[in-house]
Amino acid sequence: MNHYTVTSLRFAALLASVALGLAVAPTRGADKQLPTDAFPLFESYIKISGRAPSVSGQDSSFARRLQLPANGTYGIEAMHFAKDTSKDTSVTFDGRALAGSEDYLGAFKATKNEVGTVEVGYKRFRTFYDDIGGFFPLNNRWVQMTNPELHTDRAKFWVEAKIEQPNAPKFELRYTNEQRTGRKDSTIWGDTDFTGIPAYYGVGASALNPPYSTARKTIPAYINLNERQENWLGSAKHTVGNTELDFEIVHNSTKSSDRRIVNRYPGELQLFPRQSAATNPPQIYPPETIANQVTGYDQQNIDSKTTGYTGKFETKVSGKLAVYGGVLYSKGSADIGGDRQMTQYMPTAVGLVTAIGGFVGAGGRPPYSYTTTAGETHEKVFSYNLGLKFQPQSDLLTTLAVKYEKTDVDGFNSVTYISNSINQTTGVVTPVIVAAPNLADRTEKSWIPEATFRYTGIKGLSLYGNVDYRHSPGTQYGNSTGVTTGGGAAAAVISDDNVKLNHGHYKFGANWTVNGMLTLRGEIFYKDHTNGFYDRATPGAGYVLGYQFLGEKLTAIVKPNSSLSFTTRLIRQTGKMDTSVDSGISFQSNDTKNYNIGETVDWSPSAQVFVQANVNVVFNTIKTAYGVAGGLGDDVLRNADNNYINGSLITGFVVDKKTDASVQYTYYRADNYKVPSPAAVFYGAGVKEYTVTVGLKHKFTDRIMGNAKLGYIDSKNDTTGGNTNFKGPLAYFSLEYAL
Amino acid sequence: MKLPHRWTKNALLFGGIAAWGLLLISCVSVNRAVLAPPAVPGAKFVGTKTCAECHAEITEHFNTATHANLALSDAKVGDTGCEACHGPGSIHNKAGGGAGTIVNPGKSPETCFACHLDKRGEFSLPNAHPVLAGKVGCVDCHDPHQGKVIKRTGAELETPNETCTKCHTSQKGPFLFPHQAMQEGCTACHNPHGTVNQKMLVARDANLCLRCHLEHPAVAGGVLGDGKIVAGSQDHRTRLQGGTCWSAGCHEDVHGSNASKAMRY
Repeated sequence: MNHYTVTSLRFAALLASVALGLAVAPTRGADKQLPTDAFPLFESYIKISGRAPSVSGQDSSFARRLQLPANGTYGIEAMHFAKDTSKDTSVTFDGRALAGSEDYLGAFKATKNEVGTVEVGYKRFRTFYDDIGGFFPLNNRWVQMTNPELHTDRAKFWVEAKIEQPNAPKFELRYTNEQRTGRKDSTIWGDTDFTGIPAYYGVGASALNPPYSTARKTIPAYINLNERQENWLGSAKHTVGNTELDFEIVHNSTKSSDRRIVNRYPGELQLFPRQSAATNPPQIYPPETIANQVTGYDQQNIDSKTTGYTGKFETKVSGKLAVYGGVLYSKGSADIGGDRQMTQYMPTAVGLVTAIGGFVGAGGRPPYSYTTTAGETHEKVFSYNLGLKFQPQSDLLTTLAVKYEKTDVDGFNSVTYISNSINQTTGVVTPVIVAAPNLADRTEKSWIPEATFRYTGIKGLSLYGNVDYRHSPGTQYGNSTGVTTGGGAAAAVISDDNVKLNHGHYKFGANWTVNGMLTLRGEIFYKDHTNGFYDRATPGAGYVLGYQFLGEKLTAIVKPNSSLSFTTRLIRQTGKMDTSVDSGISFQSNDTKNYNIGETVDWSPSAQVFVQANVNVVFNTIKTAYGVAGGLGDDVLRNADNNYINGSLITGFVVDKKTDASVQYTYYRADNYKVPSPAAVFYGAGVKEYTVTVGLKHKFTDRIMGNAKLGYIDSKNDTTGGNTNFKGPLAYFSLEYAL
Repeated sequence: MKLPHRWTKNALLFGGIAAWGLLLISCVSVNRAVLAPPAVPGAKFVGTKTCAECHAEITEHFNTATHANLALSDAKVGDTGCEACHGPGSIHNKAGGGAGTIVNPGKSPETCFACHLDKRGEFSLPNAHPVLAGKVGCVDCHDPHQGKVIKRTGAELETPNETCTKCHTSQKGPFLFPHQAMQEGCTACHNPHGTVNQKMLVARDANLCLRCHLEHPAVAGGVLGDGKIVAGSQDHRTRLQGGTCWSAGCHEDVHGSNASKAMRY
């Protein structure tokens, strides 16, 4: 900080302190009811707004973080129109149209009292992504897409009619059509030539196969999304005597065709830096592999149709006892397909050879390109539940319920693997085509009893609890055929297991309003799960996962007076997992600890000022094999720490009879960045970010209000090598007009 | 729409503080109150019975709701079950309903954050559902009025994952070879409120998978005998160098695969 800055800061702080003191002075009159109608709530209005950022740094990361394009957005932020068209009929219209963020809404609803409603609408919004799949600390390589500002659009059209007449069955018909399209960031399995990091380390290293891991690397990719689902719903509700009846039919049609794509164009490859001869032979990636283009995609297709029928009832047997239950049956089928075409290359004596599909044979890579020739899955679910609600006295409510669910899934998939055999002397490529069928089915029968209670018989105190236990025996069979690196069909991998899932959940809590100044809440929860998969052909063999999670939530709300309150919340959760495979020896695979401490302060030093401050501090660590793994294990694994702190401070105050102002500050820091083994991507997250915003709200006339904000954001991200940093000011304005 | 790039952060920071101070001075001469959001200016508490006059279909079943555990009388304002979240309802009642006359947590999460402080923190993280941007609301996944606030659990008819797959259709399946973790629910790997990691994952690296997928045939004193990190009967140490299991290590179709039992594609 220079002298001018320090002086400015001191002056501003002094000024603020004096002002605050003056502002607090009239607090004695704060309890007096003061008018708050400077900003009336318009019944019908239109609000026009614009956001204008001026960001330096990575625009796409700014867009992702704030869900706002770097070029800004403008248009109709909100519109609401309501009108009574007759004594018992009304219509409403809601709208939004923000260009830039492509956020649109149009919804019309007509209501006739004691008859029903008709509604039709369309909405759409955009979610922004950046493509940060690839930063490699080893060679400081930052790989991003040509157009890193990615986005997806979610759209929904709906039309709905309800008939709701008094003392008559209520009917609802609804149709929705939802789409999700666009492109978002992802990662994909890829060969190391995408990153510039050499493929081989140690034994086998050569001029063609220079040092470092044989493992393939995570590399940046993107997914083109093309998803659509339609739902047709019909329902009827009616009360007959003391019984409520509810029946519903839903038909769902889902079509999904998502394609993950990876590209590398000539010149994008970053050379691996030469290393000292003392630690490694000084080798770089072969120059002849740099200027080639590599592409590939993986497309998954699903076209499913499911119809579900649900019936529910609840009968009040007496003032103290009610019986409820329901039946659900759904049946669905899906056409499934996949298409994976990865372009590979291989250096040979006559030069670089490129072909679609993997290479098999000497020096080859497993052939992971395939296309589906036929595939289907089928699913049937049948479940019912039955429960009792018993309220022996007004302050005690208990429920006992049980659910049974049977799920049957089966399907098949025939794929054709596409590979190539290469002669490394002549460079001749011979296609190798292998047909490989897959087959699977599974059945699960679950029983889930559940009990709850709530007791409020002690003044100011509410005690409650919930226990449920899921016992799910079943079977699963899988027959999966692959391809060997030699190019032939691999022996089918057959699994035939008895499955036993036992999931227990336990929760108990208390809410205690001690007095007007103090409220305390506490809850303890426990999860105990065992998932066992036992090989039917080999007694004793199988895989068993067990885990136990224990946690507490504690909340304290303290209100020393009507203008000040403190809310403190502490959440602690610990968990352990253990696995045993075949041998039956159990090994602890996970040790998780999570502490979340939150504090919110609401303060109104005077009737004309409010201050809200909140902070969250989180300590979270997941420990798996690190610490007990030796040798290379230490090189490739660290505990997964997910610690962070974030918070905000906002103050709002009255400026004059027609103007309010606000100042807001937010802060976020995550400091878990760890450079992993040389060939891997970063672990953890290392981010520091703050925002400052100053705002004014003004009533121009009884029908027009305005709002203006000026802010600044600064975001630094170590985990991407600083390549996604951004900072700059952001302006917002709006005008709201009463219709 | 671009803003001229001449405002620096210092100008904004110091300007903001100075403006706050100056404007506070002006407050003392104005006889008008300002309220922290969410709030309905001028409204008073009317009690749940008044709400039930028009919203009986909601109040009738509220005693089954998780939030009914909190619905104790407030010493200052009486029985405020509905108004504890919706704010004082006198203006809403007087107007016969209408947008803007009552706090609607379905439109703004501020009401929920008043108690769920941790969720405010999580939704503020870089990887979160866009609740703060107003594109998704708490009630899209939770029902505060009836039954459990975490839907479709315990002895309820529907299955828990439907809360997520109603929007995330590609992950719905059924798959020929499903990831068994889906039996535990999507939250086994994702925190839907937000995390520091991409895709709202609870861990961004191989630890996510190794919580369940760690096996070793010979364990002595809690130490892996030869330092191996075994999953699927194979030592994965060098493969873990590539980064995460679901991309570098080949297991791409983490929600389930139709072609590979090992969920490679």
